[in-house]
Amino acid sequence: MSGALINYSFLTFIVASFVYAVNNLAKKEELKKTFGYLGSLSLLIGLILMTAAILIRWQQAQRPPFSNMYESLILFAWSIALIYLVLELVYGIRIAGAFAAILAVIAIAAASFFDKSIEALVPALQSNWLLYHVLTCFVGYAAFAVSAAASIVYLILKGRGKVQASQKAKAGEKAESPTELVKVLQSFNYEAVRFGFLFLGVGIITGAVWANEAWGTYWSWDPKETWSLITWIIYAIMIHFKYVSGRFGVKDINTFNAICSIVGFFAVIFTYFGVNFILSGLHSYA
Amino acid sequence: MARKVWKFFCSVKLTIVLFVLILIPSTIGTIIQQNAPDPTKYVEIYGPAWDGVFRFLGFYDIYHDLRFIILLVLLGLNTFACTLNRLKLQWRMLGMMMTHFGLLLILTGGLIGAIAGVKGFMVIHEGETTDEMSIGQVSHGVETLPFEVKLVDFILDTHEEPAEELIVFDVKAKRESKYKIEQGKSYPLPQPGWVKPVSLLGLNFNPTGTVEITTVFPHATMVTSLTEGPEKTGIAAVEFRILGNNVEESAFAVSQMQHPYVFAPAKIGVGYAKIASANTVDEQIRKAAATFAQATNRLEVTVPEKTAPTVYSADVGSKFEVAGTDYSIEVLRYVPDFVIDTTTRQVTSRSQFPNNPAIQVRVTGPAGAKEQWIFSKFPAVHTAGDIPLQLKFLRNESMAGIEDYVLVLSPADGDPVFAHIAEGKPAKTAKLEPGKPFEIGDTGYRIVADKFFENANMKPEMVNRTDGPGHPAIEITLDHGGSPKSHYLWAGNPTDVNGYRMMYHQEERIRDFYSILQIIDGGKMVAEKKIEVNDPLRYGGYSFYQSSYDSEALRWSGLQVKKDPGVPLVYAGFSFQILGMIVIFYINPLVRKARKSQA
Repeated sequence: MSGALINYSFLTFIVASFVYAVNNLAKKEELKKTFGYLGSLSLLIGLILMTAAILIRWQQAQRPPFSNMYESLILFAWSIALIYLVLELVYGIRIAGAFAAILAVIAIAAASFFDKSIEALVPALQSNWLLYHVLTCFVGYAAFAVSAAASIVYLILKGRGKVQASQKAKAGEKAESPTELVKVLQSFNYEAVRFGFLFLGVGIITGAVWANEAWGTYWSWDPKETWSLITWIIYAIMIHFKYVSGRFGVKDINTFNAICSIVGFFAVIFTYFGVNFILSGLHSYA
Repeated sequence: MARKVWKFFCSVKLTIVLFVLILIPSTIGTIIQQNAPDPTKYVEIYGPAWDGVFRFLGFYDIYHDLRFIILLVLLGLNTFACTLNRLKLQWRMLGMMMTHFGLLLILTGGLIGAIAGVKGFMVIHEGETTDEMSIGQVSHGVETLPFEVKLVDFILDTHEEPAEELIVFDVKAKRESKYKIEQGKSYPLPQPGWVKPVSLLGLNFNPTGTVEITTVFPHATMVTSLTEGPEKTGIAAVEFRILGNNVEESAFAVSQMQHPYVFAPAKIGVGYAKIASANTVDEQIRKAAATFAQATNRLEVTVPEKTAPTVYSADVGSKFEVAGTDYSIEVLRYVPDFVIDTTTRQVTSRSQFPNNPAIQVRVTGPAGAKEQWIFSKFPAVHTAGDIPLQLKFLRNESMAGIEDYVLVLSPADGDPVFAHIAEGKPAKTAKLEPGKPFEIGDTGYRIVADKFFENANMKPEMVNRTDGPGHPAIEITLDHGGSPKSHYLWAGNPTDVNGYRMMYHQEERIRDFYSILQIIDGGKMVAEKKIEVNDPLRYGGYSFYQSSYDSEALRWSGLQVKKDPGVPLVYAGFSFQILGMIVIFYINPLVRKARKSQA
């Protein structure tokens, strides 16, 4: 049941990424609008299907379904869709939609590689902290994924010369026009990063408190902990950098932020997968 | 000058530089193993030149290196200066103050923990009371608690059914799959990665073939029957019975087999050899006797940081102190064919054949006594605990476990003979007549040879027998081109089948484990608690965490002991961090908006 719903949401997200792509590339205003709505709608349907799948699994397993690679990847895809849709609603732009949807598709496809049978929790994970720690971390990861999507779009637009044009543009243009778009994309990116920074921070802290309750050490420099801190510091650099960009000789702070978001997202991916498959440590069961 | 220093510490530019400087060693520490239990490994991995450089740069314990700690202290000073420099009593500064103050609290708390904290480990046997805990890895010492801890009971709570699966590894393609054990169920063999995502779209195909779980034997016994022919195997064998003490054991010995048959209850071995001439009988007996000279079990002990291992006797009852350490070792048990019942945790021998010889030793050291099994065929399996010794069980395979040896010799040009070898020396020789018993010295047992085979055909067959010791096994059928073929797999025994490495894996499913602890202070019991992994006992500033346990006999519990006066500060810092970020990111913009709309 849960598995079938995941398959349907996978299909819906694929559809969403295509529809968003049409929305982004379309020249005609009418077409752009229709496909924009369709994109949001399909992503929303996928999100609802996934929510149902997660809740059903929660019910079946009698515990939060966030304890292994399969479950966490599903949670990752779910958080990406959720956070993207919220930011889309707030900022009213759909230009990062195709990339966000593709990231969610990749997460579900990656989940299919892992064992999806429901297993009993090992003693170390039998704690309420599991819910708080994993949920906050993954909301953080997903926000960074969305910020990376927005940054990729920003760099593409810049590469096509649309950013230069924006500096000369007149005020009073529509949100979807290239000029406003670049500005909005920047706040979109920055907002997603701040949100992710807060949540990853809370995730690291809940992890530390949990470790102290379970093992008596809030910080043991295990590779997963260390890499989550590395990721957090990268975004801390981005957040503090705007005060001193001039003193480092950086003129284009927006491009710096976009690059920082993408580098940060690589660190997220490494924290999430690299540590599990390349390095080893306390988190070896997840 | 002072102003210059102050200005230096005030700058956000320094913050960025420090962030980047902290990132570098942090990353290095996740790539290079920290505090390896065996430091000689580093030279092996990196070579002497790089090892020297890495050692000089402190890469092997980088997070506790003074240079790294200085970076953290500098970040603390920088944060402090930055905050103080911008200190204006304004609401909009509140969030920034909170996050920065939070960071300072965390760093201070960490520093206090590192200086005034204690971290130790204690192993307590059930019913035992102790106030000693070991600090650090090997010989860093023992610390005494200001009170005593008693382990009243250790409880392991397991799920009734063990977790079991069939693991199949495609050796050539390096792909692995795991399957649920369900009789009659058929699964696709390990498939290329792209098959799974594609199957999400509802397409189904199987390019690799299938493996079927044909039969499940919860108490399997392998019965081998011997027949003469029909295959011309050229394998000579003798079927015999051992009689005595109201026991009659029927068995056989094969001339080409390396290991003799062993009748474990009386440590009697029986071997068989076909020889060319009756003239060489005496020589054969002398040869067989000579192999006893080296027929001892040995235990090789390596102490890390020392190069040459020392060899001790591994006979049951052997007890010795390991030179140069605080450890002593006693050999408790020997089993020729180790098997552990996953529910009762009883160790028994699956058969009397030395298929998986193991000894149980008790290692007594500063942290208490610990019992463990060591396997001669799996030298890596024993590394279970915190004992900093490498133990290797070395066996002289050919005559292990035998005291009295009966050699059946069958010359091509004469009558067969029985030869008894006792205490490594030829004792008695007699002509063998089928059906007539031969006394095996003063063991109280006799041997009767019943039948000789020239072309023995051995037919092993798996049967499910609930009366015997039995061991779980499965029969699988492999179908990947050609006709399907069936194979037997014993639980826990990796087997190579047609390019696939297969293992029927069984594992106890642990639901939870608990220790019931009592604190005895001044001769009185002042606290009692049932602790588990996520629920420690706290007393007198110390916390006791469930950490490990005696996985075999469930007699002792391993506890992590921690005292960290920095924790309240760290937790306060955590709270300030979170609240501060919320204020900066979400409350300040709201306030600004509200002010704007007012104006």
